[in-house]
Amino acid sequence: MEIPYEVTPRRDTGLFNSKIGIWLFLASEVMLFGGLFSAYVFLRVGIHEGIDNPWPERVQEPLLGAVNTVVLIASSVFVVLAWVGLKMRKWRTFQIYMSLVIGCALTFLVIKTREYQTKMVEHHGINLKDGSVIECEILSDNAKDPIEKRRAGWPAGFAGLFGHANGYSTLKVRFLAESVTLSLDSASLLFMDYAEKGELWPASTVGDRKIDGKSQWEDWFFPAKRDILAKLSEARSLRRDYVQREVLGKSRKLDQVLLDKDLPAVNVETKVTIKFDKPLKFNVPGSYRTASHTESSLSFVDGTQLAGALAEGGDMIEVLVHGMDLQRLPISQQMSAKAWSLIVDEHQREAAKMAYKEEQDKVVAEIRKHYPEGKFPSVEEEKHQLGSRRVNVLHIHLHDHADGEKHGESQEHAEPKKETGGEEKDPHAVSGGHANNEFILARIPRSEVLYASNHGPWYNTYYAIYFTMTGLHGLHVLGGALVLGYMLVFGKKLYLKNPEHLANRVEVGGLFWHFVDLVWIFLFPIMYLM
Amino acid sequence: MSHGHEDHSSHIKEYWWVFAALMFFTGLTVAVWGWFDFGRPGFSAGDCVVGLLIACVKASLVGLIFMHLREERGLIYKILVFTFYFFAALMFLCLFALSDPIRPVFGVNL
Repeated sequence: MEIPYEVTPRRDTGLFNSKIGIWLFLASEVMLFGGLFSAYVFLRVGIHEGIDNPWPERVQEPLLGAVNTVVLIASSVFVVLAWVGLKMRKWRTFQIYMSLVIGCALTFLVIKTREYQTKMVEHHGINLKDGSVIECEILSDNAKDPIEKRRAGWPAGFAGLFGHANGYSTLKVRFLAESVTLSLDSASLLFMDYAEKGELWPASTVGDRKIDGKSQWEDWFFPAKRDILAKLSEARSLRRDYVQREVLGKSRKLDQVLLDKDLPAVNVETKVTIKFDKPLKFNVPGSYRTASHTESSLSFVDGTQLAGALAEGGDMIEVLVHGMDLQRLPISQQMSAKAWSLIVDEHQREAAKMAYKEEQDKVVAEIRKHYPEGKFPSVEEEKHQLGSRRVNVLHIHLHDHADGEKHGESQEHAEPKKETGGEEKDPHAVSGGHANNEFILARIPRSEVLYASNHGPWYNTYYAIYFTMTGLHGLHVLGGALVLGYMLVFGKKLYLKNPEHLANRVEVGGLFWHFVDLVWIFLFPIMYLM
Repeated sequence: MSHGHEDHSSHIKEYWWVFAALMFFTGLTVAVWGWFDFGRPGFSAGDCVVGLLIACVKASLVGLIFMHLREERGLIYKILVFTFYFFAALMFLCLFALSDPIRPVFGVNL
């Protein structure tokens, strides 16, 4: 079937149809991204009242973002030149420029993937209870020394690209449980998911009953749960009937009825304790969302409680420090933040603190210029007056400063160098002094941690909106590249038949591509520079 | 748009000039981030305004030259006027939140 006005313009509009189509589509796309930009403004304006205050400003290195901007702008020129090539009936020119467009699109996506990977694999934020944040890379706890640990962290880290769990993969609470207490009315057996592999459904005792293996556990659990729920239901219905009889039948007031001695109570013991025949090992994600723990107990959100003891080393997180984010603390308290004391090596700690202080003094001097004499905020006010405005100047990268001899040479992404000599290395030696301090090692007791995660969309509001917007934009880049790539690979036939038709298609595809570029032109300053 | 072949080839130079201008403005945006500071040190409203203004200039160049909006038919402009109107409304939508009577859930700022 011949579709009209694909090549020649309609007389009334003066345009070929697909051009009107693409502009209407772009209008809807503007609204789609407009909604997200609006959400960004909303989140940012409202941040002063939220838990994420202050907004993390300029937390990203702009280099990769700037390179991607250049790549997209270049691709925009190439797509328009490819279209000109077709208009001039130069197939080869079209092929060259369109190949460059696809190359740019792939470059953009590779850089974006690398950025995402860095955030989800290498960068973690450990928020301590005192408000300080250690920006770091969490070491895998299976390897022997920090260098191996860092490398060993990678395979597990890749999982972070696909799910939430990775942020906590090396942050697990290791616990040796002797028994578990659960409420049969509300709990499930899901806690068993966190038992170490090979130790599932162990031989245990509930009351006088022995259970061993999954089927015996389930044979006990589900009937027991049904039984408890039936008892609860019966007790509640007796109570409800009594209340209804008294309130509706005898017109008594509810609060009086509830004080009656005859009011049937709901006294059903729902808690049951299961004793494991031998201690059972658990690895539980150490997030406050999942569980909390003390030295001798570990609780899940559904109330299930393990009793036992923390496994050896299970309460310590080992990290390579990238930086300190102390913006939530008043400036006067920043030097005594808990985060400093967790750096293992004393020399590194002092060097880092000195570098931080130096930077802090500069910032304070700079801020003072903006206040009239004598009007500098007090310590109480300072937190809000300054803290929310001063973000990344105080968020220094310790790698630049800790050595004292390597100022200005960022080693944040430097690959760790292994010592030569083939000696077995003591983990402590890696951070032991100025001679070989590629790393700043910190050991963080879990009891100090409020919240820890990689820098995925779940880390804070900024990363949530960052991943949403750049992710949606990335999908547009992918979609546009597929469409333009199709024209490049399969366009020859149409070109030979009707070159103007292909030129129109490329123009329409190009308009979409320019739109994708336009969105990035705004995303770049908003996400990287503000 | 019904340009002749010569017309198209004469545009090529212009496209490269726009490319150069866009590169310059990208550099300027990064410079605003790195070297210049408007208002307070670090990020401030001044940086925001300047950064967005530069982005608007870049967007205009892409729209006018690459997307051929400077020589487009009236119907496209009509579509865009509506789009702009609703986009602006969407941007201002969040301002309603400022008059939201609900106060901070946590009582205090962190």
